[in-house]
Amino acid sequence: MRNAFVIAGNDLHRRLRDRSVLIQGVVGPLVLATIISFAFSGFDTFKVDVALVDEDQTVTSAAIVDGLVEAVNEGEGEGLEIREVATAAEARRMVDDDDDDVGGMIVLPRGFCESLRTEPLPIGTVINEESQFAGEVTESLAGGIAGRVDLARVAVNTALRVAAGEGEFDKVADLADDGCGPATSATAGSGAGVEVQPAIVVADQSYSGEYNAVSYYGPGMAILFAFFAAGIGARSILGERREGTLVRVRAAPVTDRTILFGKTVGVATLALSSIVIVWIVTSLALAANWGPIWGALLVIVCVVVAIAGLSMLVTALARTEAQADGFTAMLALGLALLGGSFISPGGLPPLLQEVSAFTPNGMALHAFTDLAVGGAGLAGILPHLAGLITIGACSGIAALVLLQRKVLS
Amino acid sequence: MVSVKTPVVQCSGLQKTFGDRRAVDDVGFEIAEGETYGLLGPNGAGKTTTISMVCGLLEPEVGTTTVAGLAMGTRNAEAKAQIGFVPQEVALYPDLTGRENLRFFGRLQHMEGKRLKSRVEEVLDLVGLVERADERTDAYSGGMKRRCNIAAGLLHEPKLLILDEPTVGVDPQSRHAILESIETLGGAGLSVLYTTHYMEEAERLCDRVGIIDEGRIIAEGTKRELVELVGENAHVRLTGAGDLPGFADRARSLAVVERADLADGVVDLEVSDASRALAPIIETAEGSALDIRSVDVVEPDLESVFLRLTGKALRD
Ligand SMILES: Nc1ncnc2c1ncn2[C@@H]1O[C@H](COP(=O)(O)OP(=O)(O)O)[C@@H](O)[C@H]1O
Ligand SMILES: [Mg+2]
Repeated sequence: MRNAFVIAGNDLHRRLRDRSVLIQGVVGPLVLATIISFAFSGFDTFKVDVALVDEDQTVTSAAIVDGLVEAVNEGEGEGLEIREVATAAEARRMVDDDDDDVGGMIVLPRGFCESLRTEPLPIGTVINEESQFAGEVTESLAGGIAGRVDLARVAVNTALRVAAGEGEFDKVADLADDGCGPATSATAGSGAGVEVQPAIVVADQSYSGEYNAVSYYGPGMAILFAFFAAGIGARSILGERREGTLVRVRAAPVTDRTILFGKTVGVATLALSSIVIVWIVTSLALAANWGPIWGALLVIVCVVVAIAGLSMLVTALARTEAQADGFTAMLALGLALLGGSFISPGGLPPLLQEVSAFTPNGMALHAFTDLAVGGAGLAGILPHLAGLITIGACSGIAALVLLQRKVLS
Repeated sequence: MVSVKTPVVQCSGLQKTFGDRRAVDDVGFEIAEGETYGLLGPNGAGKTTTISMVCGLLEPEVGTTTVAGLAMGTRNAEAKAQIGFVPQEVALYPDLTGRENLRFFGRLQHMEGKRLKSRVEEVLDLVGLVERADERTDAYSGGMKRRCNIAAGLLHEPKLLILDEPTVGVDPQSRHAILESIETLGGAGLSVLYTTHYMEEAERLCDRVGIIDEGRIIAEGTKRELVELVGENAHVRLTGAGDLPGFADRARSLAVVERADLADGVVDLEVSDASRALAPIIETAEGSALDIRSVDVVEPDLESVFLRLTGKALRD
């Protein structure tokens, strides 16, 4: 096992000496992210407005609206704004009107609060297809609310169950019902003199409200170029076969599995370093928002697993290094197009939007947007993370089987 | 000269087929401690395939190998660690320096720290590359690459050094240096498995030689044993002015001469022992009033053994 790291270390040492990986893995994405960022800031500051309609008009729904407005609009960040709108019809008109700058709308339906005790009503969304990012941002915001609502449901139901055990069910149920009372009476304070707490608290730091073009294109470009960086690493196994060094490595006290593991570790490290550097630089220099650090790191690690697996598979399918290069470029650009690294998937035809959700780029970009805009927690991004790991594991295993048969032996 | 020490390598019944071509067929041999064993055979005879199985790069279809008592296989790390392998093609990273290459291959052999450092310097010194150790190996000449290639196989002080045609395509000077260092290592007690299609190298370096052709070892032994095996004799070739046919007739009746031929003004005398035959032959020549211009003694060699055994030359 130690030898796997000796092999990975040697690969990284050689890659660092070779400038192409620096250019493809670090300079490339930074330059493109910067260009895109200036392109957007050139004529107008990047802005997405989302209309929020509270049809429920309960203490809880009002708290959700207030929390979002406070967190998003009054935070330090720019680029994203929530507009409270009285009716769905009016919001709809604003969304459809291209001059209004409203890219999407979110509706908390009537009976929403009541429905939380049983099966929550879906939160409605509508987006303007013309608006960049509107889809991503609106869905992420709505997803964020839904995620929190789910947590709150668990909390309320647990409280009820505990209260029932202690014979105080009615008292707590009343409290919970008060949360679904009309919004106006809550502000006046309830007759029982108990301050009614909304069941759901939305405002917290994860809604930084900071969202700009780099927040989307930074990760998008980072993932695209990480494929190139990983590809350079992966094809080195073909290079070693051509140069004859693979024979000598195989004659050392190592198994083929150790060699492949070492190569994969090297490939993953290249992709990881590339994305992490772009993450740090775009966050510090271009005010990109990749979500909270823990979340961004998790998504980065999982997308790196997917990229490493796919890169090894591409190498396993190629006969020569040049062929591997070509495959890598096709894969990286194809997935970037489908997955929204260039244009947000909202702009794609419906069928491709479906496909987009299954690309590593699509999954990772959704996860980043959910974190940055939707304030999603771990549970919210878990499906994306699981998807990324699944892609990485399946392609990785296929690659190892193929490489064992084709390159070694 | 038969060794009684335990063998470092024992292999038997090795077989490997590529497609419908049997590259190695029932190959077996032993190498004693401190012995230099040569596999001599033409291109495509199966030398590389055989040693690939001996050093655990290739799993044989049939047959077994043990190295220092350990069973060899592609996954048997401990057995592999006993071997220093020098591949036929130069196996160095062109973008790394000689020293960096050696450090990496040393680490793969579980070496680190002071031992790694000092061994790298020792082998660099042994192959005469100390001065150029910090240059990238793609700047090396062919001979330097070959020497660095050998150095990488020596780093971890293996029990057995396996060299696969290490002098192919090398300039005469480097070739001389390479042969000399292998002689030194063999003299110092290292066991060596050496493959070549140059019979001079096999004769010069190897205590015992296995002659391999079309995947089979067709004869094995010391040079003397092999020569005796095929009954190959030395030849004395004589040119001169005078009655050559008469001299040939008289020489033919000498006890030490087995055969005498005359062709193109050269009398070719086949003798069983050149050192004892020379004096009577010259005496006879003088007795025949022959004016001797030149006398050449051609000892039997592995080339002629190979020719006898297979009916073809080692080199095409
Ligand atoms: N990987 C391989 N695939 C197919 N045929 C091979 C392979 N390796 C060697 N051979 C064939 O096996 C025979 C022996 O090859 P090799 O062991 O390389 O001979 P040598 O080293 O004596 O020149 C040759 O006919 C060669 O073409
Ligand atoms: Mg060979």
